[in-house]
Amino acid sequence: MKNPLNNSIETRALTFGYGRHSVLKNINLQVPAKSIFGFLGPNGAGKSTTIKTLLGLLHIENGMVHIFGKELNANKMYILKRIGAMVESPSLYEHLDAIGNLHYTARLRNLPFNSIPSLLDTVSLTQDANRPIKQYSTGMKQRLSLAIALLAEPELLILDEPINGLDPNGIIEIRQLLVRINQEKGCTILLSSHILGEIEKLCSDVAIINTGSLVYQGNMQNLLNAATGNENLTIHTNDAEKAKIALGDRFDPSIRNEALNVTVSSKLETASIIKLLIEKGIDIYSVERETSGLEASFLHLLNENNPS
Amino acid sequence: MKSHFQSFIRIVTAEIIKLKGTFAFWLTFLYPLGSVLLVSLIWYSQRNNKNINPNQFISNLSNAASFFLPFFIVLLISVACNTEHKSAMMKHILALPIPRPLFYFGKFAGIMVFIALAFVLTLILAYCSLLLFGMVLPKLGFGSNFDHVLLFRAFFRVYLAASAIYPIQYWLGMRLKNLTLPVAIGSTLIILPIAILIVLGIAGLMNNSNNFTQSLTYNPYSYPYSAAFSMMQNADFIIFPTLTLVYILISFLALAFGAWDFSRKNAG
Repeated sequence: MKNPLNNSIETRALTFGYGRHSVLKNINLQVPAKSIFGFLGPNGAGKSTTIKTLLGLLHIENGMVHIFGKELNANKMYILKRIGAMVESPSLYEHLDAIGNLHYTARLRNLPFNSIPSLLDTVSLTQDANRPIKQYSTGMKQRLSLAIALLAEPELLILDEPINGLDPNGIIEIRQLLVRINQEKGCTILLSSHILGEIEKLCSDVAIINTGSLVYQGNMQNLLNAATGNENLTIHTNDAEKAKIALGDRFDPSIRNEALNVTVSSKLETASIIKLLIEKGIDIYSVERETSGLEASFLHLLNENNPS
Repeated sequence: MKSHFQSFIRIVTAEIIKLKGTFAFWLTFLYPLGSVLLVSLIWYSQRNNKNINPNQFISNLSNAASFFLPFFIVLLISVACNTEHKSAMMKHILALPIPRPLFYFGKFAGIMVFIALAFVLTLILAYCSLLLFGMVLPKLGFGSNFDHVLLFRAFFRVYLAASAIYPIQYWLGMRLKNLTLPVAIGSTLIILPIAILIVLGIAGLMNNSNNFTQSLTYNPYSYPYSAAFSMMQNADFIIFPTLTLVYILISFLALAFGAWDFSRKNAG
């Protein structure tokens, strides 16, 4: 376990439920300071519930939440002043425009309005600043919610599914923005998402939750290295039949839609296959991996902890 | 303490600015305009009646205002509370560094500003209507021959009589996460006692009009009607009868209860 002072968030035996239905079971989460921390889990695993308890939206039944080294309930105002959050779907007043929504939160937080134009610029909404929110696309709403979360220049940013509904360009923009905030301002970012590829690209640390229990937490690279799940490769060549014979019994390939399908258990095997095909004079047009490293690890961990 | 007060003022102003341009905002104008216009048009249609006098007009105005007031309050407060529910804003607000009771009181105060605005507008429009009658129909003697204090007292008493509705409806609006349910509950609480009394009257089980008025006093949502009826019966009415004071006390208790309930519940 890391030194608590090095963690922006630390929970101990955090438990929460609705009536008899237990949603969080003994969650011991540690989010290192200044990290970009990915919080993964299937739908209904408890990601949003965990985030709500961290923000004091849900009253903790058992366990402790420490943020910036201070206990949440006893120091709620101190902690919330230093947090920017986006919980579940974007929370915006539809009858107001972007400036109206930013003014509203700035007024409640007692912040000056002069940072609003640059924030709108940061999330590429300057041109649409005076349009009512009801005319915004989902992606624009997500970006505005992010701007609202950034208003107070938080030390900790908690984002629940921030890239939901964004187009590929929007995802790239948000990714670059989060990396910039993290690097330039040293802001710790906790984000939940089920877009695993994005988490893999963005996060330095990760936790995986399943049915209310943490099944993994630690460094992203360690998780990727520990991946033990098999990967399916789809290889397009100039001659699938010849390629199948070349790989022979060692890899047990099959042909589907004129492409070669091979299951590999490591990156080394992928390299061996490519090398072998080239040696046999077969032209390789493309090699597609069906699952990313994180996906493989994620699915493996979920299956391991949920054998049924 | 000072910072809490400053936060409170910020919440109130944020609420006022936020509600501008919403249906709640327009209701604040529609209610005074509708009630004064209705009485004025009826009076204009009866302009040849020799028995009319300005004070009777004021009494009719306050009665019309008292009839529409509970509906106006129910609708205004429910719509104002629903702005948070329909935009999923509550979880965003509760994740801000604002103590929950302070937000509850601040938002309530912001809504009360609109109710106070409706009160002032009703008074202004009633004055305008009286002056207009005085100019257009001088034979009615409305120009300067009316009791200015009576006008203020009549309206003020009706708004005070509704004091318990404000925090109860506010609590319902904050608690129930849609618009339909608080409006339905509020409207039922307004209409049902009157409907029951009308049925009892038709059935011949209630012949005394005093009993009718008395029965309405026990329901905070219909108490403004009873206050208006008692004004009709007694021109020297007092603004703070005992029951109004009781309802003011209940309103403070209801507001405190609402703040406690709001603070303890999960914002899921």
